[in-house]
Amino acid sequence: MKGIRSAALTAIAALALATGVGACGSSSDDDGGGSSTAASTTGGGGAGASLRGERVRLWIMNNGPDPVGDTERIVRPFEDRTGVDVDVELVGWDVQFDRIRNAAASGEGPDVTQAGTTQVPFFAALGGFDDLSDKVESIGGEAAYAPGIWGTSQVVGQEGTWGIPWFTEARTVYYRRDVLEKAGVDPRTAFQDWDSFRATLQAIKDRVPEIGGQRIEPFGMPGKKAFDLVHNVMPFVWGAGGAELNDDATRSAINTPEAQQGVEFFADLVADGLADRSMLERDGTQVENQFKGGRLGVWIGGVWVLPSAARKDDDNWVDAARRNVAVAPMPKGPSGEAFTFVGGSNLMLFKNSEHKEAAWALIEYLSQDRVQSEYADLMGMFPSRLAAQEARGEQSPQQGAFFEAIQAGRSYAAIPQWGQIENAYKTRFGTILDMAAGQGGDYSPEAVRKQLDDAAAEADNLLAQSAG
Amino acid sequence: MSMRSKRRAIDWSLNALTYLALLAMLAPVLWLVASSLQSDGDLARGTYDLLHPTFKAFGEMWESVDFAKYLKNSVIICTVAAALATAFASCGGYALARTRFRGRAPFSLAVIGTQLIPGALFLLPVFIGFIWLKQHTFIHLFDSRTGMILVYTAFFTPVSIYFMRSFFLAIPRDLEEAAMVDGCTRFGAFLKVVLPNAAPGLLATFVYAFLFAWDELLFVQALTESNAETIPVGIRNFIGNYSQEYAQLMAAGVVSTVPVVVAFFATQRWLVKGLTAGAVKG
Amino acid sequence: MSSTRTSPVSPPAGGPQDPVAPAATPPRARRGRLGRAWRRDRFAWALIAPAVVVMVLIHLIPTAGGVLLSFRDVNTFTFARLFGAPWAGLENYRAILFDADNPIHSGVFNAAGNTLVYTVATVAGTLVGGMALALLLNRDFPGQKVVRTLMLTPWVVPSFVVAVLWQFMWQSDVGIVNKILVDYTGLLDERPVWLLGGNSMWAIVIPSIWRGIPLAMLIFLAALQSVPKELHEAAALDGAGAIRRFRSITLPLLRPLIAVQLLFGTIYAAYQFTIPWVMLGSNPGNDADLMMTLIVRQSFSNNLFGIGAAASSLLTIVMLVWVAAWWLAFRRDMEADR
Repeated sequence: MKGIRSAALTAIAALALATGVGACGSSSDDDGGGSSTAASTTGGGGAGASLRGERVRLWIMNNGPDPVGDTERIVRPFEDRTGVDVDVELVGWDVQFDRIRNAAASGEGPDVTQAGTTQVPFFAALGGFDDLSDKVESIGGEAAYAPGIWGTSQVVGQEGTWGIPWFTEARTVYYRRDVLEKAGVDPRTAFQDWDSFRATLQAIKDRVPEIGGQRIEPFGMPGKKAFDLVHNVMPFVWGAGGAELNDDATRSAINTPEAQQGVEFFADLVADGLADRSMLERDGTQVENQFKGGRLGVWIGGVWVLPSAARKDDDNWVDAARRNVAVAPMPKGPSGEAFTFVGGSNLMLFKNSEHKEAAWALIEYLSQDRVQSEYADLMGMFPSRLAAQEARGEQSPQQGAFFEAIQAGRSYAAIPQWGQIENAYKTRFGTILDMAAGQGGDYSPEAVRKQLDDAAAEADNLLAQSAG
Repeated sequence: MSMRSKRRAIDWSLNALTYLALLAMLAPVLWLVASSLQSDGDLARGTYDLLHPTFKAFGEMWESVDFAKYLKNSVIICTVAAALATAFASCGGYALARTRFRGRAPFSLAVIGTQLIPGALFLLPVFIGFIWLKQHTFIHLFDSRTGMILVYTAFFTPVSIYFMRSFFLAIPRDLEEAAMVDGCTRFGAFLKVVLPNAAPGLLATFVYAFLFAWDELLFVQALTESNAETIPVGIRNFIGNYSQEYAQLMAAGVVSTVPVVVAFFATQRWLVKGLTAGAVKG
Repeated sequence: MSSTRTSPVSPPAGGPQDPVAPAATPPRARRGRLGRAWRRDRFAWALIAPAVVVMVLIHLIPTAGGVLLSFRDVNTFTFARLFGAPWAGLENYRAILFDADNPIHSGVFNAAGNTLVYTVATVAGTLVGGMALALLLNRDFPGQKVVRTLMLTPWVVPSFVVAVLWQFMWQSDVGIVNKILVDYTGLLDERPVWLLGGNSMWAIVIPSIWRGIPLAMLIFLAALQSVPKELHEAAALDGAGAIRRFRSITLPLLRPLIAVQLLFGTIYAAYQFTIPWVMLGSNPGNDADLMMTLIVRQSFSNNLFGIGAAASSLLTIVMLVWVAAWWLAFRRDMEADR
């Protein structure tokens, strides 16, 4: 038994090493500049003809109410013009991380995948994706994107362009006009800084326990079940002058006094009863539906929620909320500035793809300003390219507000370990919010400090990881 | 006479207690059904409208996600894997019950041992193995029904071996010995004489393995992508991050429960006999 | 043809020991002891071959691979190299067991503690509840067949459905549990929060017990029905009350069954994954994080496969110790009734 076992082990190890599952893969980057001649954004017959019949697999996530249908509709003109067959596959957000990682490491996957902006550095570090720097010039290069957006295609410590921005989302304050009116608060100043933010919520709590026969809470945000918990808390950390990591991304900065102040502002809302603690049991979309269902007066949510109020098929909205929803910029913190979390999704090209020309043609097509705007409209998101964003911003005051927020938006350091650091922060933020809700330990500045210290220690450990 | 009425009062209250206990046990399931008859918006907000049920969710669930595919995969994978596990376990259990063969102790221990290894420990190597096979050989196990069948057969054979062993111990040797005297080979006797007698056990083992396979989440999540996804993986697609269809999720829950409930209640007589074989003493 | 067995019915329950004295072999096969043994072995090996093959392919070899991984430093950067990742020796084990500064260490011990609480509570609840229901159902009453069958329903509801359903039921503001406790019956004044903090352990324990009771009830009920009535009647005549009879007659007879339920119940509970993962998310929080959710999270969300493999190996060792202890305690019950 023993002999067989060790022989089997040796065989496995040898095989695994020899095939080098993943990075040291077989296909080299051999598609030279073949596609650059076909790069004109108006498209043309030339290279299109040579791609006819090719099949490109595209992974997308749940980007809207009908993600696959909408995406297929958007790419149909591309399919008709080039003869490429685009196979759109839906990969849910809760499994996409594993799937993309497995695909990148094993070489077994689609040709193009959507990935969250904060995930691009991690996936790029796995080594399973193509560097697109030589191709991206054909769609305008760096100049075509706002600096913050362009940053999401880069990776600290790894030269190159790894993900082409596809659509952008931002988080801002949502509120009910009728609730503010009944509370006697002027919307123009209700959320201008932290003090007025709190005062607004307090006014709602005192004067508007219910509206139109329905109970309503001033504010509510999801807890540790939300994948984007950190996105919700971080703007307040930034607003207080803190940051998630230090300037050169070598150490965690989440336990500085400023960062703690930001976290505490957020958690205090729960502890003081201004934020409904039962929202902490829910994830982001469930809380979104609570706002749409008229149970929250104020909420911080993504840019895609506002357009959904106009969609008849979205039956999560109740009439009162649908008619009275409005948005406002994030409040200024003690640092004097207001910060918006800006995220979204980029498109990445797999190194092991066998249809790289067709895949790049697809990415090019999706980067056309017109297509960008169309897709963003369907999803309720913002486009990623500067020109398309400007056009969108001019559509209405609210869109203009989103546009300004995105230009001044902020995201995280583009390091490969960010995903894990975010997990470490998410755990601790979740615990702090639980404590503030009266569950799981005393809520006090010392307790918060301890959690943040733990978070920083774990982040430092993760930052110390290296390729050995 | 007061003795009689006292007894009757006790009987009556015990009956009531029994029915109350039944109600308590069934309540969550009833709640599941009730939830599936609401609209998405209602469920998301938590407002139940019990007087106006709607079957909308049962219709929509087939379109929002490819539920038919998940259902088909689950049925095929679980049925075949349970059948194979039962077959392998019958052979193995028979060997354990009837013969003192060399290597019996290590085999027994290994069978128990497999139950003690956490899935997370060998999940990644299995995944790597499947991928490697797909890339370098013609054997496609990754994201295939065959691959999942292989995995589930391996999972549920060990426990089934012990099940079947208890059944075979209950069947007297006279039967197969008589058959062998009549000219049967040992294996022939096993097939023609012993197995039919162990039919309740076979059925019980099959349903048991089927139930567990139907339930499994960790491995199928990692080893499938778009072709061989089963219900436990697929059902979570109802909860996207930008839209959630709760009523459909509940409806899918009802639909996922129905086949196992049907399988269970259709065979429950034998299943009960089978599960309790070890319990009944002459 | 004589058989060494006297009774045609009655198998002893469980246990790897075997009552085997081969009966007289048919004449044509008699060819000397060595030949017989060899033929018997070959026959048995052929029978166990399919099971062995799948177990080696899926359990043995991959587990060896997993243990190998536990000796490697697998992180975000080295993940793509997998078995080629840098050698870490016992570093992963040391970090988990002894490194007080490492959050993994405190995380693992926390999860281990939670898993212990979860296992004890679930198994105790299941056994007690199952026994109670079995006693309740062990009488003649109208509709008994239907009731006994319907009682098994919770067991067949898939665990992911259970998790989703109960997550809805536990929601503190609109969930049905709180509605019943506070609004309808007025048992409590304040609405407890179930999905956060300390109560989150009960949020996963109670559905687990609910789901586990039917099987336990079924097995106990079958056993109760096989206890000869005469035993109880004789004891009753001697003046023993119901409780005394239960303790002295019923329980000892049921001990082997309780032992088996205990073993499989604890194994199933210690490795529970689906219910906390689906109900509470990939990070169930300090009070409900179980070993499997921690291991899967560290392995798949944080890419620390080496740590995950090490934690899994340690968990396996602990379970082996438990099984050994169980065997020592219940060996006599398993071998009884020859």
